[in-house]
Amino acid sequence: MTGSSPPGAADSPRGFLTGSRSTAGSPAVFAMLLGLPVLLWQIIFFAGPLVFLVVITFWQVKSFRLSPAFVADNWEKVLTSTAFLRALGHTLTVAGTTTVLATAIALPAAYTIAFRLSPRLRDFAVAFLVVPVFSSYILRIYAWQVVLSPQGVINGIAGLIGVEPLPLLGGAFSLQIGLLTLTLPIAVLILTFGFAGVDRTLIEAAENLGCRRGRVVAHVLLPAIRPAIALAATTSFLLAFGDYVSPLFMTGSKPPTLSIVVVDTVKSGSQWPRASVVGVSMLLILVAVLALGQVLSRRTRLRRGGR
Amino acid sequence: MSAPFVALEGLDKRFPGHHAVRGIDLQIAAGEFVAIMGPSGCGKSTTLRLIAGLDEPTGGDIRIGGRSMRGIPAFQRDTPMVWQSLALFPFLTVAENVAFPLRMKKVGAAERRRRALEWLDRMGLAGMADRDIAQLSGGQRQRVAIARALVTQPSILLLDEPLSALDAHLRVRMQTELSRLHKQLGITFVYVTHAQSEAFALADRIVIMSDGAIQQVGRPQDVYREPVNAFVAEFMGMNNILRGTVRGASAGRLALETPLGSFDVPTRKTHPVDSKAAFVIAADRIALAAAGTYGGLDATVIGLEFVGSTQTVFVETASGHEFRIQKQQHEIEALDLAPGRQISLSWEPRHAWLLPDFR
Repeated sequence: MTGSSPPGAADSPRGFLTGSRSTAGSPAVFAMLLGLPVLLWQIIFFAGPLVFLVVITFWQVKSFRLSPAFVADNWEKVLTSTAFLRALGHTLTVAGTTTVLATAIALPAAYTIAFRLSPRLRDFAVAFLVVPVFSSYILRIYAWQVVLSPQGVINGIAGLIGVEPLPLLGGAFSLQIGLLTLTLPIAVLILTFGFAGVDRTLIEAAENLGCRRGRVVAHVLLPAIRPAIALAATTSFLLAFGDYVSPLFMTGSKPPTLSIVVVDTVKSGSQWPRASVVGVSMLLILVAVLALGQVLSRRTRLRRGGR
Repeated sequence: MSAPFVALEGLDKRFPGHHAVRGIDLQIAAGEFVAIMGPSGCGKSTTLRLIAGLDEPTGGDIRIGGRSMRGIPAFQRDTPMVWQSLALFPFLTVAENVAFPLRMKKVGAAERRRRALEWLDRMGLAGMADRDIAQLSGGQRQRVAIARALVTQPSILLLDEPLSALDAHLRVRMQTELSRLHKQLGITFVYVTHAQSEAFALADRIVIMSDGAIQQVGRPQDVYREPVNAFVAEFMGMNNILRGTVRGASAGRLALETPLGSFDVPTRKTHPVDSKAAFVIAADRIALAAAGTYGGLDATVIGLEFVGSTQTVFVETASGHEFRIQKQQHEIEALDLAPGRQISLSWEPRHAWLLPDFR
């Protein structure tokens, strides 16, 4: 607002409307006008429901009907229930495992795509990774059921060579298969773009300065794509943490994850407020994970805080 | 030259569909500052990359300190390079960047830090050690890149257009800095550039390359005053080339008949009568006088170009031959030169340089 007043107007009050000469043509107003639809969209479809979700956690349910109130009862009930805490622990473990697996599998895959494939094969591989992201997740999970079920493809082949049917479906293994189906393509894509964005002269510079080929990955590539690794890991965690489809179809909800708990809580006794408590708790955890991801992607700077 | 420190022996590099370096030979003495110049795509950067081992030659050999570099990977050569893009590691601090080569040599952390700080201090970057690369200015980054290349005390430094990303003011300061470093360290510098001013200001010897081959090697003044062929003469920029037929020769000089008349040109070797030849007259060797001066070449001024302390005058003869002439500001004013004005050109025959290699 300062600096735009003409000389001599210095003693006039400089308020939002008086002092500045923001007209519809000025850059600031123009940018605001352009940004307005996005802002409205965010308020109506994101901030609004979120506020409502938080408000509901303080409401009460009387004879299966929601009634506005302001009680901490729901928070107390949910946060102290062993069922919730067990589900929380289980969900964190499952999502954490998915994160580690997805990142560990995606790193070498992305490295290969970015550095070892010809440009043509690279485009092909990226297209192959993009397609599943836009294809039906449920369909892919059904496909896995066909493969893993006791009468499925794998057990069919195992039966031919005289192996008893393996309990592939319905455990931690199948759950991770399902969650990796969701997260792996995205993790590989993020890391591929991360690797592809590394300035090749950095690699040559490292070799030129005495870094042998085999150590370039550890000394240059991984540090250079640290933000991409943090992004791939947080994305995998977020997807796995909030997923409903894989826990439902790959393990039959046993043990339940938090998203299953949300649905169950609503179904049994219309406990919208308690389901909202679980939902808001999940959101808070996601925010914490995102913040952690940010910190990890910039750890170098924090570690040596001194300027 | 005693035993050369760096020797390129029939060095050859073919890329698919492109013969980048065509079997070049070059010897560089220990402690020499050599600049490799040429237009883009002439193979100068490839030559530097071959010395550093970043590209594998398809023929010939490189010897450094008498040792063949064949089969020796880049990381074992100790031929640090300063890139045009600098190639600093953005994920490391300033001090960590400088210490990187020491870390690769498994020097202990404390020693690494000490030597990095020492070099930062030397490059005028004391107190910047723990900053991020992104926090530095272009000139400061340049110094970090140089410190990083020199921290292991190599006996050769390769520089690939290191100053071309800097603005003019900074470029001149870094030139001085590089020159000072070269004198202090006494190591070999191989400097690739397309900027004549940098090469002339810094190098002991200049190598002119074109189309993958070396055209001329020599001291800056030799390359400038005595180009071996039309390419070098034209690449130097401020030269006028006149082509013609040898009409008569006597001891040390010959008469060359050109479309602009017959000129007397000194020569070191004999040229058969009726053979083709060409000579060069440098832009700053041409004298200007009022039109019609006896013995002069009449021409019309077609343009003036301000280049600082001097101006370039473009003139054209009646037959359409263009000359460029370099003159001091006061001379331009004394002659009252302006486009359209008639003037007379002349030069002393001893300033004409016969191109030894002309086809």
